[in-house]
Amino acid sequence: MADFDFQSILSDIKNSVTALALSTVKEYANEAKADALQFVENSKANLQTWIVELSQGQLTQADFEDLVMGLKDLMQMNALQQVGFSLIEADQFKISLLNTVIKTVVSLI
Amino acid sequence: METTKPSHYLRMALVLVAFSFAGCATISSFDQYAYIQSTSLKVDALNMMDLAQNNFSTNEKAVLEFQTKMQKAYEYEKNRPKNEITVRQWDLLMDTTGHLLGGFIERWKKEQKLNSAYITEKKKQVSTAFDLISGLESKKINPTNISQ
Repeated sequence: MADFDFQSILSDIKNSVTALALSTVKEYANEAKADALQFVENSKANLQTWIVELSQGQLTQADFEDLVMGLKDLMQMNALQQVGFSLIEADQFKISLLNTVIKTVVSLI
Repeated sequence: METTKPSHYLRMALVLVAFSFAGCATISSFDQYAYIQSTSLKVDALNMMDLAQNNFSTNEKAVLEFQTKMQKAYEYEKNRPKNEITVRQWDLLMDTTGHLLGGFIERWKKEQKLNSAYITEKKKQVSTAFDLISGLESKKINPTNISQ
């Protein structure tokens, strides 16, 4: 019967998992920040267009208000998307974690 | 008689652990049908919105047909497990008291005709809303990749 050095296996898994967690969190935080900033930038540009169109009479006051409220709804949809992305990242992390544990243990058997 | 080695048990346990992932996922996995539905409905919605320069009553049939298609897609999304976030996105898009597609249709029905500058800008918002739904779907994990 083979002898397993469980302390060594656990130590290897701990190191791999720590490295994986750090890289996953850092990558996701950068992506989420960039997405949110891009959304705000796009919204600012749209708002400027509507103000010009309102002043030129192409949009009515009711049109303008509806578009601004639409922006608020889109921001909520964007926030939901970010929450969804974070859950996907969490699931991807779980898969990577399982793969790491499996590879580490199999390589030591 | 040959005895089973401990390493065999360990490998079997690892395989079981890998297969148990599906049960502990926090969000629904990628669904090709849902993705196609959202991108296809986006095209239909934007085409329908162009009709709002004309009387609602003359386009009512086309609007009702579109709404039926959208309700079917919504029902499909509602019945997918762990799909609450996508369903909440659809709720915002379809809300008749909101300011995206549902609100647009209600306003068209009430005012009969809408002006072209408003339609152009609202189409951009509705287009973005559909992109947010399909963007989330496309990033979901494909079930065929879980065991790789």
